[in-house]
Amino acid sequence: MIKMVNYENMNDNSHLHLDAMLYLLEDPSLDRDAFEARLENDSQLAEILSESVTTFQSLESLKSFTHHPVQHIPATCNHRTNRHNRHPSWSLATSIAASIGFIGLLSWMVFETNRIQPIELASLPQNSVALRNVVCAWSDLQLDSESTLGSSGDSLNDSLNGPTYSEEELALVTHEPFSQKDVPEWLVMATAASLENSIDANDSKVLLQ
Amino acid sequence: MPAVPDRPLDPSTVEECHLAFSKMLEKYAWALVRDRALAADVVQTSFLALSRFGGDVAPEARKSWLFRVVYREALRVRNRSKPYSQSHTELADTVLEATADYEISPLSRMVEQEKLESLRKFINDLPQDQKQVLEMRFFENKTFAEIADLMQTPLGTALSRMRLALERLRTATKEKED
Repeated sequence: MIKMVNYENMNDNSHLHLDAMLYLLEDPSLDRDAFEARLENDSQLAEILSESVTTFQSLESLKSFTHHPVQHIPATCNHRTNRHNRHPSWSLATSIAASIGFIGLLSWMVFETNRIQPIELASLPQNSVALRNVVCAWSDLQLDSESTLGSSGDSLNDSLNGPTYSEEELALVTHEPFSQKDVPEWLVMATAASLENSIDANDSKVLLQ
Repeated sequence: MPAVPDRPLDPSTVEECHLAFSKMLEKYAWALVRDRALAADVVQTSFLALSRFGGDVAPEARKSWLFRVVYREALRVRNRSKPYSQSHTELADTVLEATADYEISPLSRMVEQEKLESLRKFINDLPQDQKQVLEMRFFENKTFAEIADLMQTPLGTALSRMRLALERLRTATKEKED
């Protein structure tokens, strides 16, 4: 509830408050030098000036941050002012809409991810070149790691002369090629996915042609 | 010129004075230098002076002593930096800087919004002639001479309306704070 002030209640310092406000506003109707000279020895005026700073800053904040009816700036002419004057409910609505959109996008991504069925190893074409390459790459990788584990530890020698295999390892390299069942399923799935993509890309190319 | 001998004031009294007057003094310093950081420096220097030389200042005179020191220090700082010739537009920017809270929490933002809403209500409740003067001076940046001309009143009347408007706003704001 706002209480209105009676004129009689106003203190005698109101003219000092006005001078202080004129000083803050840099109003030409006030002699600034004379006012500052008074300030040096009049601590009451100094105190009034510091009180007026509060009112002045509040009014300036009101002017800066809120829309005021006397501002007739078209919204399209001053984007900064328009953004500053935006009603809080608009900002809230925008935030909510953005959040809902983001959640929707996430849900869609999860849905799309789940839609891709895991591909069984058996369903892959036996003569797939890509899969064969993967099997070879995997076998090389396995051999590398096994040779590292089984080596004598002379890494400098290995680096210079190449790895030395035991008889078993050598047999593995030369006579016992890896089969598809030795390849982990995650690698097969990754290959299958990339295969699908490349097929899609080829299809697109055909369509474009 | 011989150095002034120290007349130290005990730290607890300096702390008491700081609690009681520092905010008021910062606003005062800001009015003189129009820069928040400079104003804070001025006040800090003044309290340093109080701790070194305030020992023989009578307790009832400490406040006015501090105001005087702040005044001199502010003018010294102001003259040392750039000449004080800010336009009104620049002034508005420094006001924003002065009122800016560098770590604005949502709560303090709400409090600030609430204060501004109250101020808007107080302005709306002003008598029409006072409200008109206040709006033209603050929001339309008109001089009092222009306002008097527009309202077809003497300059003194326009100033008087502004004075009354400010008095009402100040009282209403104080009552709300109490």
